[in-house]
Amino acid sequence: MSRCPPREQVDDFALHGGELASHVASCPRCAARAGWVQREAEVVRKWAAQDDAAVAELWGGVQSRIRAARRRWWLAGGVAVAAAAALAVVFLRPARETEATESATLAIESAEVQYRRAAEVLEVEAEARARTPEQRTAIAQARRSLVRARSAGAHDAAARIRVLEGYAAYLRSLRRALRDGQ
Amino acid sequence: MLFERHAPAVRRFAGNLVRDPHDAGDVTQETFARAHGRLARLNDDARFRSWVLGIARIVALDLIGERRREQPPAVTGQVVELDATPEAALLDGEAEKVLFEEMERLSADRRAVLLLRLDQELGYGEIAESMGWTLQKVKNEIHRARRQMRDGILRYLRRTR
Repeated sequence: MSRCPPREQVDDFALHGGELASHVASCPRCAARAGWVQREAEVVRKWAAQDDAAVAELWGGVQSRIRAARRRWWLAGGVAVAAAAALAVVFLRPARETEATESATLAIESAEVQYRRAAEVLEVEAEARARTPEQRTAIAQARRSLVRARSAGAHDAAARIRVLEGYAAYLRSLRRALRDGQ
Repeated sequence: MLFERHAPAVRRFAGNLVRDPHDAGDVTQETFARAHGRLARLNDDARFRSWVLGIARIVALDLIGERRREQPPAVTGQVVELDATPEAALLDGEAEKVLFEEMERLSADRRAVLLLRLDQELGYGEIAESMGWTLQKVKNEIHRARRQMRDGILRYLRRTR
């Protein structure tokens, strides 16, 4: 009798056959193991088959769910546009500028970079899932609104902090859209 | 076409996890609806089956969680070594009933991994991808599921002797 192979190989042999036939035939231990695995698989399949059922009538439900997901996505996309557009309105109106200190400017710029990176990741995902040109346009509009708000803020520290708040709202909208679209 | 080809396996797998025909239908519908939305991300059609079964598992587990029906994994007691082996006991028709009960006792994830291997006949690598687990974790969980089944048979033998 040759040396016993690892248990995993005996299990694979029991399920799919293969090269171990001669060893298993001459080894009572491996033969018992293979016999157990085969019988176990047989019982598991029999147990699993209890839940077999017709599926043809489920297709209508799948289509309804796809349509509902599209509607949710469109609404969520609308929220993203609304959030960004509202911020743009706030920032485009004349504001009293408050000069930021150098360290505050650096902190704000760093935070903006982080937000932009996070938004880029989510935007890629959202654009991949967008099913209509309108949805892709909605995302592009939201992004443009934030860029305009950022430019309008210029060196006004308070305005730029509010741009950061805008990014946060935009990210939340994108995340909600992706979650609802699942 | 994908639905026609794969829905029976998904429906069966969903039913095996949620153990309710109506819920199994819901899980199947939701699985294919989600798969439709993510299809663009699947760059290998050959992987569709393991991929869609992975989605079905997530949907089923969500539903189980929502309904708080998940049973804690059965606590396996100390295995008593007996002269009669589980292999021999499996020849006995009564033992089949015991194994059916053990299937019900397995935690949803452990049951899923065992079914993917033995019923859906996926390879370890496919299961790892489907479950989002490492290969080693897949092997460990399959081993534990089998041990749990085997312990059930040994307990049955202890009772009947």
